[in-house]
Amino acid sequence: MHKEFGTRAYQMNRRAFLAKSALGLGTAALGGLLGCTPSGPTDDPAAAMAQRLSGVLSEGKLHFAPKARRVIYLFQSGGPSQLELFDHKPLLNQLRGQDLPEAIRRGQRLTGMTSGQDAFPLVGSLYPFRRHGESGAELSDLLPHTARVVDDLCIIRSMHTEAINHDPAITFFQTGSQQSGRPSIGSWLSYGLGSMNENLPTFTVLLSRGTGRKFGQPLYSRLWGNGFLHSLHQGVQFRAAKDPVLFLRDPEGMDRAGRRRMIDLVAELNHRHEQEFGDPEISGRIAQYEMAYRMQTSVPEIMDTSGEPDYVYKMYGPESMQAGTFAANALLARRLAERGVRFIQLYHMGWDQHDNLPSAIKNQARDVDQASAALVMDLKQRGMLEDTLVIWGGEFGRTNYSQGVLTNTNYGRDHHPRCFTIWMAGGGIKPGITYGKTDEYGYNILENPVHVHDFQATLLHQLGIDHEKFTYKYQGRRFRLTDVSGEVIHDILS
Amino acid sequence: MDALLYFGRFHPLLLHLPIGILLYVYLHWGYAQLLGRKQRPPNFNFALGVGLATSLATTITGLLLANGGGYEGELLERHKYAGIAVTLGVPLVWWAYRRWKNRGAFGLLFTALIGLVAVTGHLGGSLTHGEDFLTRPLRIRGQTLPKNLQEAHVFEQLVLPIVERKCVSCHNPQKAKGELLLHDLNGWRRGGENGQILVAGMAEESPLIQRIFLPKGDEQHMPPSGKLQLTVNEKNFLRWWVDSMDGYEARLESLAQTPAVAAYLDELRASNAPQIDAPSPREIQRLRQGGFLVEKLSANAPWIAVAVAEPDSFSTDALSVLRRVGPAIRELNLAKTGLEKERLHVLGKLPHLQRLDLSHTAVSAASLTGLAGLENLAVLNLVGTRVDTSIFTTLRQLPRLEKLYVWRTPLEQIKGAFWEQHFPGLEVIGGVDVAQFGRPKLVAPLIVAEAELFVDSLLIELETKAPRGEIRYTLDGSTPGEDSPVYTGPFHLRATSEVRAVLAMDGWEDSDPVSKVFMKSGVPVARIDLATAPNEKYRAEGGATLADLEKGSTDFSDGKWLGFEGKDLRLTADLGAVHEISGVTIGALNAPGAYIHLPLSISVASSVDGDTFTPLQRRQYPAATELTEPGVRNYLLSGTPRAARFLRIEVESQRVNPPWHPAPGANCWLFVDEVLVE
Repeated sequence: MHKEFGTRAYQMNRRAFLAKSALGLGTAALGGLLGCTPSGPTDDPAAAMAQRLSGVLSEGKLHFAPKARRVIYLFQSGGPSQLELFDHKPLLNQLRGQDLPEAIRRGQRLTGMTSGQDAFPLVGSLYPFRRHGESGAELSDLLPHTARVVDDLCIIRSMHTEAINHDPAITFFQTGSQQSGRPSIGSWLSYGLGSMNENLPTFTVLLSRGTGRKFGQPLYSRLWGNGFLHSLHQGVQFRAAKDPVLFLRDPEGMDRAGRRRMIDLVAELNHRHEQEFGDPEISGRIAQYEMAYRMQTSVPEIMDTSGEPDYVYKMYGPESMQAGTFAANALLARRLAERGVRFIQLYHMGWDQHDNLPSAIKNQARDVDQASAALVMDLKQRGMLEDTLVIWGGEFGRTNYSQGVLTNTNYGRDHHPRCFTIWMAGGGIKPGITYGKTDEYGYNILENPVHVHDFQATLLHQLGIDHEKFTYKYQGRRFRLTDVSGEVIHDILS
Repeated sequence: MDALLYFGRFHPLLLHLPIGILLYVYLHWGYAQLLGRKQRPPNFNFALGVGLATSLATTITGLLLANGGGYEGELLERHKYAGIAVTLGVPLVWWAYRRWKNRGAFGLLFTALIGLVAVTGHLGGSLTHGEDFLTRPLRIRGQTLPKNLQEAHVFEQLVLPIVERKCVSCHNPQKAKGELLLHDLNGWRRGGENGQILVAGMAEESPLIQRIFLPKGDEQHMPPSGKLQLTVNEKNFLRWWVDSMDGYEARLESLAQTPAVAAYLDELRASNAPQIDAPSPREIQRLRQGGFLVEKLSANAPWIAVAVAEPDSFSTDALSVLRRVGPAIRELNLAKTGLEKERLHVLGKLPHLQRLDLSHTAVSAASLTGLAGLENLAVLNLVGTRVDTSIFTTLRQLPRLEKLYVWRTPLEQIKGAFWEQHFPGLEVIGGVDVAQFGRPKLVAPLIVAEAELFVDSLLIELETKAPRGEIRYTLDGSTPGEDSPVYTGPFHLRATSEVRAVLAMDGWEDSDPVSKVFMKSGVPVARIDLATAPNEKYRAEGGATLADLEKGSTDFSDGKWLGFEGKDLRLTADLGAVHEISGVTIGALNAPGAYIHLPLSISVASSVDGDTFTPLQRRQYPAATELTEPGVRNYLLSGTPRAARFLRIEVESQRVNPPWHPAPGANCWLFVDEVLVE
């Protein structure tokens, strides 16, 4: 962002100057002949909004015809245990208590939380698994509602990542790099595809805290940051409180007309400032004031779910009436999707079950199971699953051995990056399949590994973007969401 | 040998020099002839000298390449002799020039040489790119596929065209890379230098399939990097073909087909489809002015997706703008617009429409007859419309319809079996059956008040987010039932009470009861003697802390709590004088994460003189079974009103952490604050 500022105002070189002036004069003259006015900066806030609305790839520059128009990402923060939910490993129940063989571990780096353990006693799921649906996908009894929609899901059992701790792992998923500072997926999409609703942000974020591990890992707002992209593209968090978006409400005694006049005046001043200095962040500022003004009416409308019929609450579950729960956020996600929000990011915290896993994961799964399934059903009955990509998954999996003491009813699991499970639905993803396979120990991947960058490449592909061509030049390097690797997983596309 | 081949590989570079130089000299000479004799001719000696040198170098490198470069056959021979002839021809032309200068004989000879250069070049090009390199674009377009692709010969009409486009330029009789020929059936049967390329029925074992599926960076990957790659659909189709291989003669209809086949056929149809012009910016502009949102679907296809910008104010007349760009429209979204039925025959003018969304509009089956015959329509969304069974005739004329959305239409009532029988292959998506979720249990309401202790009265509010819920409550700690009062607004408490509330709603199971004790300080406690000493760190002001009318927070270290490690608490409260009492309230802290648990039981006994105590009440409480969030719980114990000055209170601790705790068996704590008497 600041590099644009520099090149534009002070470092415009001879070549750029000639090109710009020649082309500029030419088009101006042509425009005059054809009887239309050349588009240029105006101090009209609506024009600034229009800039925000169009992405660099809109107007026919997409690399492929898109299968998905929007994404709902149900991020399960903390690392859900694939072994209790999706990946059935009877061998672990047979070998319960035995030490993890070195031939399986193969020198895998462990976190500081278990690297000191003398033994790594294997432990299988306390919860039974069953096959469901026509596809016969195997799910644990902890997910009875998800089981109803398995024929709409693509379950990927062979995800793997590089990070072993929460923050780097989530940052990796969201930005393609373990180090912070790069744009989040939603920001990339806002930059590339632009907005479909001029009254709501392109990239929204909803948080909820699970009952599984209440005092688990926190999240940082930089996870939905815009990195080096223009600040227009950062995610906007909708809170479950009196003020869903902070600092949006007018003070007592201020009316809409007064606010409008103020925003117009500030925009005019800002525009003068922009002409003087040429900092593109100033036009971003103008657009953000305008967006905030529009959100003053659009956000309360979207957050007020009291008009939803009873059957919707029944589908999403009783907690969907309680603002701030995962269920309520899932319902909000559907409302945001209906209104054309491009990227809706949910985070549900509390999956980090190092100890006390059996009871904690039961609660945690109950938090999300019904609402996740309901969201898929609800989108489907409305025809929206056609072009909405729903993703459910965390930042890594959990170990096949117990962290801490293994008792008959209790155990814990540490972080495991080598294999874990996520699911996707809609948006042109093949429904009713289970992709990838792990070994009998649930430790390594046997077939069809899917790296985080492969996942990101596939996500972009569904939105019509070639991840290798979608770049942004910053500090002399062209950056991609997928950094320098990643292959689209064609096998899971319908 | 390898070093010679290395030089041989300069042939493709060098060969352009004699072609260019000789052609240039020829043109220059011709130009001079045209302008008349006066024009100075070019320096023929030098120019032809360079021409000779480069053609000599080209011939030598060419011969080296022919020896080891994997080329063979008649074409190679012809190219070789033509090239040698060119090299010999250059000195001949030179000699003729010196002898006859500008006479006709020389001109004839020079023209012949240039002709020979052209022939040699063409032969060489055919060697490198395949004999049909030039004509292929003309041929492929006009290639005749049967109208019904199911009748196609799989190998000849579906497989071979892929291979001809992407493999034969190297695997042909002239080039025969890896000694493999793919241009005709014999080559396929014979295989390459490593033997057979296919194992019928086992794609995974077939070298040809293995290689095309290797990662792009792999050395063995085919086609090699830099050459035109196979598309995903082509690869999947080839894999399917080998898996279901039944000789080379089979027709498509005789084989079991997978989605991979359908995907490839789609791709094939698309590439054979008549060319459609992408809408011009002007046409798109016109659509936008007409109230539509237009999205161009991709950079390399003409398709557009059209939606209505402002459904509320959309006028049906605007639809006519769509006609002009009709063939390019792939997706059309008219949801929530005030469509009128008589205008919808415009929909029939969108021959390539794949997705149509008419949800939440007033359309009926009669207004959609225009859809009949749309050959590409795959997804039709009718959610929330009045479309009924009279749509069937139209549906039968939509050959490629895959999905039909019928939630909240009369069609929703139709059974799945009927659809399967009459519209096989059509996926009909109705509404979600809410009954599958049973009677879910409501979430308990919230009890909200400013404080838990009060002197005169306290305002209580009960809150719920359930929009149509009803809260019933009691003030005596009993579970609210049918005849308990319904909450209508905030109310005042004037005595110590346990408020208990339940949320009820039609079609839902009642919530669990929620309760909270609010304490009125009726009789001040003068002094408290602790029979059990609190822990050094959490002793605050001792017994006085329990009677200071200040409650501890959820933070155990706030200095308002008394903490006891691993033991029960016994205390005696002195009211200073004999009072009429009826109940006692004691607060305890729950913070399992910090090893602090609630008591297992509490008993209270009263006495007038401090010697003989009579029990007031003893209650037991179930221990928690899982980790919960920190919170304060108040225990109300009451009995028949009596006169008393002293109260003896015994609080039973859990003493050690329960088995489910992260540190089972470790000493745990009891934290107590505030004893109130009424």
